[in-house]
Amino acid sequence: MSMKNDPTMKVIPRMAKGRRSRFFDADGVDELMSMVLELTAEVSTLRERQYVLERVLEEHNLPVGQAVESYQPTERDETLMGADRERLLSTVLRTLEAEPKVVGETTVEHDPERNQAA
Amino acid sequence: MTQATPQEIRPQFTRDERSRKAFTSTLRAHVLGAQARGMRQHFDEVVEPEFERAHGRKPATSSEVRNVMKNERDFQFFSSIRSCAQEMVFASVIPAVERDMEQLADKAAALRADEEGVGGSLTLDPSLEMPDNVTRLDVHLAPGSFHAEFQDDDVSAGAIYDSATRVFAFNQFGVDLNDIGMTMSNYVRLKYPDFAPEKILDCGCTTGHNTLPWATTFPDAQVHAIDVGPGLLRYANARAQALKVPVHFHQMNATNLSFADNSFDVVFTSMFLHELPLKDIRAFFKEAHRVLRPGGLLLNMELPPNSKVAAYQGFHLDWDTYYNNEPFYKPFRDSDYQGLCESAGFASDRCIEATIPRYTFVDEEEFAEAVHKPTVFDGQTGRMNPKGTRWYGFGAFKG
Repeated sequence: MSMKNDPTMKVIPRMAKGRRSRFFDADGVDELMSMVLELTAEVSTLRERQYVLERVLEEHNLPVGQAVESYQPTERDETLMGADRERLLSTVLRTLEAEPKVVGETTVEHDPERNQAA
Repeated sequence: MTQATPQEIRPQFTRDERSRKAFTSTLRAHVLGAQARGMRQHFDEVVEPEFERAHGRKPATSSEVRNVMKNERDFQFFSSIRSCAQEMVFASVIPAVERDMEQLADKAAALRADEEGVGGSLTLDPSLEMPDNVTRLDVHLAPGSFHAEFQDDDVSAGAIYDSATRVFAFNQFGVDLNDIGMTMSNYVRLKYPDFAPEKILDCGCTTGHNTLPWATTFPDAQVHAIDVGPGLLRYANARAQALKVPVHFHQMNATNLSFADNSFDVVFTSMFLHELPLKDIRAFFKEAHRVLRPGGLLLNMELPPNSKVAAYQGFHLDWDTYYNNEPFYKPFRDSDYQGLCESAGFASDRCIEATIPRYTFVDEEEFAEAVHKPTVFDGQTGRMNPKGTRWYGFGAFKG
């Protein structure tokens, strides 16, 4: 849950340039598929972390179930957790929030026959 | 001897990032396993019988299968999930590479300095023009394609490729991601025991995972490798140096080699040709023929040609050309591989072809027997099948 946002940090794009493939006739379904899978990845990641956490605590003789239930988050907790929720949303909604592509730049040509002729 | 990428040049992934990578691998194995089998069953039970009723015959080509499958719900979900998974492969590794970019570049530079005397080298050519097939699209949906640089002396492209390939492969390329190189080099060693290559060239080497096995399989040979991507090559060089395997990496286009005539015993490629337009494959094969010594071998590990596989298998293999930013994949697979060799000057009776079990997945005895067996083209030939894969290779001896 890093809160750092260093403007000098080099950025690598998260998505390939060009138009995404479209498989479904109805608008939006392809994007929804991505969201569902990203969400599933997040849930999977979280479940693993929780699993590991509980094993680690058990190793230290700390059965934590009750303590987790009664924990009162601090202001700092709330800030960190809020930032993490924001990060989660931008990951899940990545396909909607990718930078708009430059007009005329690299549109994917799904036409191998044409490429063969070239 | 392990050829796993040493920890020192890997990005440091957090616990959550490791889980995300593992999930993406599992997703890929699932879509190419269970989901692909479901799609095949739907084809066998519904789509093909309907086609037969309408046309009085079964679909004969990969394109005919595609035309009837592309509007099927099974294909749409398979493709959508597979395509999303491909995007997730890169999304799962890029944040860590981005974070560690500077340290990784410093590490690579220190390894390049070769204070331990490994004997490898890196020769970059900043004036080299990047080919259109690399720059026009982000190949494999990899942000930045093969060649992007994000800082001076950058190794990000290599670090991304290495980590992403591990996620992508769901163990199908072997624990060290070098099974293809291990398989093809050991195939040459066992199939042609009198052939003792002294100088070997790997073209389109990316991070060198499949280059290094040639150096270990033929320890007396000098091994060279080329690619166009500077970040890939810096990383490949650092990786080879860290593993103490001497390889000479050069930034060079395979269609225009700087090497002398008659200077190599083996010219090797793996999963390279299908990224090239046919005109570049023809130019590369002419160059390969030129730099090979008489008796030398051009050997390409590739996807099998459409002419050798069943229509459905061809349809399944064609997927990447339409949805994975690999537009030259199908034109290559539709071509006559031996014809390409012959038009570059190789004699028809010197052309070879093989389907080979994966070296690091079987024992030495089984592999040694398999290299002398006839070729087999089925659902496991050339594709990443969670149930097992047989690699395909073709090429020719010169003279």
